[in-house]
Amino acid sequence: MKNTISLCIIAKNEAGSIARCITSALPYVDQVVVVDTGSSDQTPEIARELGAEVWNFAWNNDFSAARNYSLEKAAGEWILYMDCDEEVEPGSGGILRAAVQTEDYDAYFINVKNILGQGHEVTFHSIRLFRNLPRFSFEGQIHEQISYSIIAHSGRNRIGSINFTLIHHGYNPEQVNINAKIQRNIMLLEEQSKTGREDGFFFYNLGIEYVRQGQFQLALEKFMASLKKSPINCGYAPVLANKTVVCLIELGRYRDALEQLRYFQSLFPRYSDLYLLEAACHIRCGRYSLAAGGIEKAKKVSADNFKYPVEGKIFGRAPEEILDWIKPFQVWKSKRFQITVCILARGEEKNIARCIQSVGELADSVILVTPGCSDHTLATAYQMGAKIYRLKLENSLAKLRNFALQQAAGDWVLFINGNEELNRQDIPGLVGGLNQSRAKAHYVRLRTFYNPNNQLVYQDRANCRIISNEKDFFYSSSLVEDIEQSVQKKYGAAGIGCLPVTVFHYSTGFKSEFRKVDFKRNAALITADFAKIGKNALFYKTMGYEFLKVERYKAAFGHFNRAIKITGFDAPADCWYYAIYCLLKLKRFDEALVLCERARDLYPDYTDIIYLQGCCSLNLGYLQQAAQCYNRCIQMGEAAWEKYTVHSGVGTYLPRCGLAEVYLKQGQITSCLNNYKIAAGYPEAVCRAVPSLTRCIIMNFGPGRVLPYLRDNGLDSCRHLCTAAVETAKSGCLMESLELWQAALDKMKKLNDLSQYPLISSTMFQILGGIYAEAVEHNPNNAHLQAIAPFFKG
Amino acid sequence: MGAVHSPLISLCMIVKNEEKNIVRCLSSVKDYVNEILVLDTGSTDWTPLLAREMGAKVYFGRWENDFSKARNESKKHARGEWILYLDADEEITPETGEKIRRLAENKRVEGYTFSIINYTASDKNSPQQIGINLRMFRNKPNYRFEGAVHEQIKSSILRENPAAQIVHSGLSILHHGYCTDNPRRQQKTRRNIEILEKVLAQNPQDHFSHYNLAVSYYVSGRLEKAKTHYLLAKKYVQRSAGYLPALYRNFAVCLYDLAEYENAVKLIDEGLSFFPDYPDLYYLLGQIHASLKLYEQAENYFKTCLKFTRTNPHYITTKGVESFLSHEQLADIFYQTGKWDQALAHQAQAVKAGALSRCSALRLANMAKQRFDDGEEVYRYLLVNLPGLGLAELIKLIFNAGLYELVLKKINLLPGETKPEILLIAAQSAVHLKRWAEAQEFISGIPNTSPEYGRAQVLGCLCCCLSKDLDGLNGYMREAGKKYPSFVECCKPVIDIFTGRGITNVKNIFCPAGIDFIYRLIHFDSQKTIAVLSNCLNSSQFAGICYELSKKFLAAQNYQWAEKLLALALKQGCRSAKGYRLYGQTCIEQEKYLEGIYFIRQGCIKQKNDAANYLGLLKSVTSYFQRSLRKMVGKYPRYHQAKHHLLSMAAFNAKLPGREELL
Repeated sequence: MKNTISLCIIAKNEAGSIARCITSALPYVDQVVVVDTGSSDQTPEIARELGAEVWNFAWNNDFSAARNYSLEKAAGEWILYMDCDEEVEPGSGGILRAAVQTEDYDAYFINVKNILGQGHEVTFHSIRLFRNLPRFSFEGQIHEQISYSIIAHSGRNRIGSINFTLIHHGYNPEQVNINAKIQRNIMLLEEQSKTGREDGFFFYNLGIEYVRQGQFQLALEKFMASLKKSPINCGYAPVLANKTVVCLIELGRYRDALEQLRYFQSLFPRYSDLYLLEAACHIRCGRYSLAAGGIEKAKKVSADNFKYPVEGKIFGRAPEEILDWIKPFQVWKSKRFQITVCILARGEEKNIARCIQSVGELADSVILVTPGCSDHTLATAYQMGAKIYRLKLENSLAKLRNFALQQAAGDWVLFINGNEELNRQDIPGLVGGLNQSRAKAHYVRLRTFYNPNNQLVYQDRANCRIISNEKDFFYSSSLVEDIEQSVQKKYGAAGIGCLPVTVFHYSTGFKSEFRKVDFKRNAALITADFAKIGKNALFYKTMGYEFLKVERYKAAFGHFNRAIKITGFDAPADCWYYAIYCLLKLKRFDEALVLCERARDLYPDYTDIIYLQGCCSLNLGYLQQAAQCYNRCIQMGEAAWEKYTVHSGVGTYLPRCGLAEVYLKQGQITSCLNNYKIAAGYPEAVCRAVPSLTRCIIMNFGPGRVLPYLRDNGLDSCRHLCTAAVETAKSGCLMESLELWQAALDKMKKLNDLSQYPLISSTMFQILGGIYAEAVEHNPNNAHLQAIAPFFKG
Repeated sequence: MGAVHSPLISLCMIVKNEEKNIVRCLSSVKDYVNEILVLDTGSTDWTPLLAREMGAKVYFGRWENDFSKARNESKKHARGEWILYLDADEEITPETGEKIRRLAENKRVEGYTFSIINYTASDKNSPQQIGINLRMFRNKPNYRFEGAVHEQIKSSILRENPAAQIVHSGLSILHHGYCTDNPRRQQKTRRNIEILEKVLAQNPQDHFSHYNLAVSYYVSGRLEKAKTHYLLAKKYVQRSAGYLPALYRNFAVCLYDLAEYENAVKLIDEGLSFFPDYPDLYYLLGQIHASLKLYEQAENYFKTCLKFTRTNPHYITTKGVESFLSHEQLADIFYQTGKWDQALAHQAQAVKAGALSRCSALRLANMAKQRFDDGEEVYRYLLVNLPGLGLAELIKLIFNAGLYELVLKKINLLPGETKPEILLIAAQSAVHLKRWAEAQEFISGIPNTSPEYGRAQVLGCLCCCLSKDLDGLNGYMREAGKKYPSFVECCKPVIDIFTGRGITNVKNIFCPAGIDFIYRLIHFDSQKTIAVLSNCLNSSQFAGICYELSKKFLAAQNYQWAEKLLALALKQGCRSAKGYRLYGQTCIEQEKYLEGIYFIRQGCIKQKNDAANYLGLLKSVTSYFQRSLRKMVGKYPRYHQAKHHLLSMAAFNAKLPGREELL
């Protein structure tokens, strides 16, 4: 074996890792040179013990100078250079000896595998093995390179590739405080920029550091600068392309990303990651079939992976995993029609992406019609592939919708609002249904969440959203979706069908400022609409609903009542329901009961009315009657959304809570508890049932019985226990509330479910807040208490 | 001094009213320099005269609140090739002095830095801070000091001579001026603050002045102002600034004292990314985690400190951070968690590596007591590991550690006349062991001229009370009364109870001296004392006494006993809100959280309009949550939310008034 290899390392305070580094390489090299740039720990001693030659070098912030010094001390014919936080991958070293016998090459690319923590790794190619010739030297203060001088003196042809791998641990966030290190790198690079040596490689490195910090806009700017200055065949070009697209994706610029990808794919047609990025864009836009296509393309070229630094992941997950996940939603091929999705939106930058993503797979084209947006809605929609139409300051929704109908090209049109979302799970059903449907329009289930953060409490009703794209269909109301009228005119009631599809509508919070503004605008629209026709039942119902939304119950009731009186018994179930609801809110229980009786006769299968009847009876003290109503609700279950507006829980936990209150009034504590218990079993009811349950137990059995009761009845999830803890604290039983809290914490640890932690920590703060509130109540002027007030505001 | 050829080294000093220090300084250095120039800026004491007598040339100048001006003035007349400058409160060792001449012979170096060892108190065993400063440089007129306070000459030298080599000499200068027990220190700090505020008014971006001002504010206890200026210094500082490591360290200490634990940890992490070989930063992380009781993590940090064999002299460091200080911290951690072997090992290492304070020795003794069952083994261990300690000191040590039998055994080993203070210790040990006769023998050996006589007589009273020796009692009372005039009046009622004469004067039992007497009785024989008291006194009197006694124990941080006495008081009917609260607090201090919370809550219920009760409740519930969070962090070390909440709870807890205030 002729040619010898010297391992060259520079080190400073690496006592923790240098041993691993040297021992992993020792069998394959003949000499180990360590240049120490000023260690104050045992690094030099450890290296010497392993047989290395240790030289001291005064550190002057220049990596290249230190490395070149190490080259001077190397005696072998070939040099292998490593960092202390690297090691030779087991099984990989054998190839070295043979490789250095060659006459054809002066240097080799090898693999450097970066461990990024949590099972992620990315492999780069780097020249680490080269002939020990004096004309080869390092350049660059921070990211020192040997390749420049090798290419300059020997040419690219004399650089080969071998399958030798080093594992680099230095960027493992589990090993080192990553954020501080990144920040430091950025500072060092920015400082270097002051020296004027800003080439493509410099911008690329700076961009990489910004990516690691998550600052994608800054990173993109640097990458753009790098693309301008870097030659196409430079070694880092594929990574540069990759990361540029990653930035665009992270910034939501999917259209731009796809455009760039087309260009990069033409440059590097066999770089599989570029196709995975294409898939990633489509996934973000909800176009699952196209995403699957991208993944297939990636698979086809994966054989050439060794040429490129391949990550092989989409959003950190394996492509196979993604394929499995999107498989059920791939309906593109089975669709036998064209459908245009029309979106109405104004100022929905937070929601529009969710909306468009939900229809991406379904839509042949997406149209967005808006009266004007002052936020990022339009930019986002454009990037996700929508075509944008602006009808300046057009308040009438009918005009907007009719315009959309005119632009739509598909056989079918689906209308959806910017703050809504199509239920992905229903897409196959939708496609199947439309494939064979003979109706001309379809109702879907519109599910409205009152609180966008709580998806367990909602209201369902039928809404006509999918219509066949015919010339004669049009909207006439400025506010309400009344397309049914024109459909029914032409085809009668049979022209409209029902599809088992849900659209989620996220309402803006009840108490928000927008409500008042919306009210004024809507009221004006409705009045304008009916100015010509005159005030009919529909007008009163629509206006009543607007008053209801701003909680002006007296006015609302007035309108609903009018509507009922005008249409008589044909009044839609809604009017009855809301009229009763308003009376309940106004505490006019007797009148409400009267209406309930009549409504029940007309709509005996409308559970919600029976529930309201129960509430009225309860309030008037007619306990038997109330119990009857509630039991009936439980028997009947939820009404059909196709016929009525249905409220969640009306067939399940709400009547249970009602029954519990009845029993409480009758003094039958056990039955009361039983019903609360059953109610508490529904996850959506925890916030309602558990506090009442807790109070009941405290008052009748003492606070110490709460925890055993919850445990014995299987109501001991973290959520149940935390809610009970807060309620117990409110009742002044601090010790028991701490016990409940501890039980919740133990449960979380037992299940190893860290997702419950935010609930547990917020309970902690609520308990402390309760004590503080009590303290301030009795000691309002105490300076100490006032001084700690800020802690409880946040 | 007075050599014929051109003088080589000139010592230049500026002084004002330093008569207490100037002689020590000049005598340490005068044999090693060729001329001494002293610029006096307005002394009103003997300083100029003393300086002249030591051979200095004294010049007079006006003080214009500007150190650089003064220093530049002081070197105007220097004729040497080199200038060395010291302050009056500094001195050098002879070894250093000898080497200075060789430094001056070097042809290529332009300036030398020295390590400055700062003593923080006059006790030689107090912590030392080691800094670095350029103190010796070639005498060229263009080299001028800059900065009104903390004047620097390095920048001027490098400007005039960019290729100048400034090298660390490896020598030290001892600085006594930072001793916090020196009254003039506060004056000097105030003066510095004044000067720096003026400088910053002219130039608000002067980061070095912001830093120095912050340090001065910190030293005078104004932490919020210190934080403000540290932030400004950090904003404007350049990465190449020599004091940047010190900035990170001192700023972090300031944040720690303000209980802003999260910010402190973040700052230290940032500092470590630039200076990963700065042990003080790891030490600080260890301290923070130890105070949060995150012992595992603290342990790791201190162990990291120990890995540093020598610290880069360019870092301002506290001496011992990489050796005995970390060993002591580790010993403490292991002591808290009951791992006696490891605690002992580290404490012994600490003592070996230089922690020679009485505290350290006592800790070693206490840990040895836990580790070894047999007194003799403890004694042998201490002999081996505390070689510098004399026998008398050793006996005091084992007495303080509570090994009374051992004390009596080893007393005989003392050669010659036993000193009175040792006799007193022996007597106390004997009383602890109920060996009354021996105790009285020791007491009788203490002459009435020694300072311990009075205390010995009181001890005699205590002894006779417990042994019911009425005859001896009278004698001791008489003698004690001679030394402490009010003794008889105050303590006779108590003594009467114990000698069976019953209650003669109830009121006086509650006087502080009387309570103190009972307090000592409890230390010697708690069972008997309590039994006698509960027999003689009615329940409300007994409750009252227990309550007062418990406060004394609380003050001495002996929570176990405070709890016992409070429990007795509460049982006998002293059921005030404050009583409940105190009882609860003693439970909390012993980490019996739920019990403590219960009782403090009772206090709140009893007296809603006393905010102290609620504050105590908030503190105890917060401590309880902190313990649970600690366990979370231990089980899920990478889950940052839990650690974030732990740190903010700790910060909140620190803002709540402490036990002293609540008492």
